[in-house]
Amino acid sequence: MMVAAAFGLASSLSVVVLGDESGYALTDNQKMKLAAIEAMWDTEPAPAGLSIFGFPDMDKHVTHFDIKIPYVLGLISTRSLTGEVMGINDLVLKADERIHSGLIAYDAVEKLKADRTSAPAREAFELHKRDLGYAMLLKRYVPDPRQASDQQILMAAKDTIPDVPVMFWLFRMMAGIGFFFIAFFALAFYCASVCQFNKRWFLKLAVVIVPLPWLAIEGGWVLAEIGRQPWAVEGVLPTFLGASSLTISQIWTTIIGFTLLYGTLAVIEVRLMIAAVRKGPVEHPPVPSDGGQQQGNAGFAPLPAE
Amino acid sequence: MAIPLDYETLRLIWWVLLGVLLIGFTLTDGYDLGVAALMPFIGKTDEERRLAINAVAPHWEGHQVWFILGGGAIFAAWPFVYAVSFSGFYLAMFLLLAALILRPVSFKYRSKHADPAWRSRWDWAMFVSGFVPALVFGVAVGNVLLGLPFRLDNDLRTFYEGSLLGLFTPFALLTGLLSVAMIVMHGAGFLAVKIEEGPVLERARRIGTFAALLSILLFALGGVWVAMGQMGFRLEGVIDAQGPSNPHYAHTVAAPGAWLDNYGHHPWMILAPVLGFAGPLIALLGIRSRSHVLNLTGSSLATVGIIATVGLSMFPFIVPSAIDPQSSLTAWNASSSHLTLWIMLLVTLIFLPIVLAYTAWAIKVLFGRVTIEQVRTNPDFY
Repeated sequence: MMVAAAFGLASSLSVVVLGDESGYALTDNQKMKLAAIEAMWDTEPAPAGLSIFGFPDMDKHVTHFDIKIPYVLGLISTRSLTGEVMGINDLVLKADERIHSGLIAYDAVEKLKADRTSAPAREAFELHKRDLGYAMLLKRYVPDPRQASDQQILMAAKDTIPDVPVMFWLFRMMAGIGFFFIAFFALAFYCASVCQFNKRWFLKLAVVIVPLPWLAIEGGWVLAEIGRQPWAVEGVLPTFLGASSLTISQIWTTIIGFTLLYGTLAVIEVRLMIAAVRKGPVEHPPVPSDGGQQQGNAGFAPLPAE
Repeated sequence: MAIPLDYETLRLIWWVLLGVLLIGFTLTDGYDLGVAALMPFIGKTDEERRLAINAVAPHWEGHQVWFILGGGAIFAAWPFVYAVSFSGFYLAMFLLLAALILRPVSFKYRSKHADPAWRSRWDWAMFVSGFVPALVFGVAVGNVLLGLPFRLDNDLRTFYEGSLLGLFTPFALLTGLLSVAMIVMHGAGFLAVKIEEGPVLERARRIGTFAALLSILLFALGGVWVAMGQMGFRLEGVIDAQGPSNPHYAHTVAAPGAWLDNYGHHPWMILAPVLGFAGPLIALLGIRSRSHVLNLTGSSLATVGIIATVGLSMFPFIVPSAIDPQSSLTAWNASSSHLTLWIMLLVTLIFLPIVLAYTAWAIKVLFGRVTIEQVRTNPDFY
């Protein structure tokens, strides 16, 4: 138990380090994801505070019953006292700017499609190509983004906000489970090494919480995917343009098909496992002379395949 | 740093590598598929079937690497081809994967329980896991020869307008059956060198004879169909082999009979179909003369010849479009960038020899015929 508890403690602690590293990476690469996780609507004076509780409101762009720990977010995401963490509203303004810049790149691309050698179009494209993906966001509203109204551009800019309440709570669930495990393993490690604690309820609790890491992992994955919306590739390819032309029935067919296939195999697997457990270990039969394997008499070996 | 090879050369190299990977897969995993497809027929008793299973059991997992490698190489070197074929063949791909998923579990679960009904069920699962992929691969190749129903829009997004059942046209069924015959011939050829003399080996020789004859017949029929049918595409105008990867820049037309053009321009290419016929004949010769190594050599040459024939007939086309020829993907307009192809070539030059080396090493370690005696006594056998 001590070995298990020690490993559990070490790995749950290292998860915090990894989580901190990827949060730091978000500060540079996916500012919107970070802001949505924190439900930080407005840019705050540095260093920003970290929300631990609240109900983000997507319509009004405010968080109700917000409880914040001052300074902490600024510290962990910029690793300085002066670094600013941009809020959602400012990021939307920035997206609006980038859409306008992207439209210039889009226009250049259309010109280049007609005339590959056009030098002015090539030059305009090189200057604005980083924002081309933002212009593509408008394709949800108009077939040709260049025809978009200011209203539509603003709508596209607002589309860059992912589902904030889901992000906010998924992250807190995931992080909560992580910190729970630190506490749990610290207790387990202390108990196993110092007080020789061996209560049944504690061991039972250990079994009950087996699904939690899995939940945290799935939560983290969903968080990463939802937080990236509306992008398939951040700033480059909007999800609705990146999807293939598969039909919904085709996708259902494979989801149901794979579930049935793996489900059937899982049932068979579990029944085989139970049968093997029932049989119990057997002592290995005498080693055949041509086998050349060194096997002790007392050793147990798995059942030979029949 | 300047890239020492020009774009055209790298594209050509990656076109060849695509063929090498497909052939590598068929040469190695092909015989595992063939043996799996034969499972209900090759052995009368459980021991005889286990003889066949344990002939391929230590190898198939390593061989499957070629399949992964092929998918990865298409993804990285020919992204358009990947997008069109993996989305277009979506349900076919599902069938293929479902069948391939059955393979390892059939190998492993079958031996866990002595009940004859249980084992017979897994033998049929093994049949599915060998037969279905062989058929689907062949049907896919047939459809590629015919052209796929896809188009690229103005932004080069792909739209596929076919269905799963639409893939099973008469010509595609013919290429599918050719693929099955070829792979079964190869599986039987492999068994002939890998198991001890006895009833199973005799059955493998009989099945091999039948499969080789069928391969010759279907390959010839396929050739006639390609020549007479309304099949083929041609690039017209100036071909810019160094140009950007944009299919819309090329001018492609549907040209019935064009799949035979290359043999006029480059007579050496005729070597591929010749090998496609010579291979099964050599295999037949090996079977008749009880020279098992000749048998396997013949079946190997047959797979090389038949697959190379498809590739060379279509060159430079990789995936033509039946509904919008202008969207057709060729070696000159569907690759990834010059730098990507170069970096991947370096990676391949390092890793392909490693793959070949460990494959060869595995063959060396496991050299020799599997015997019924080993099946009875070796506890590590399935």
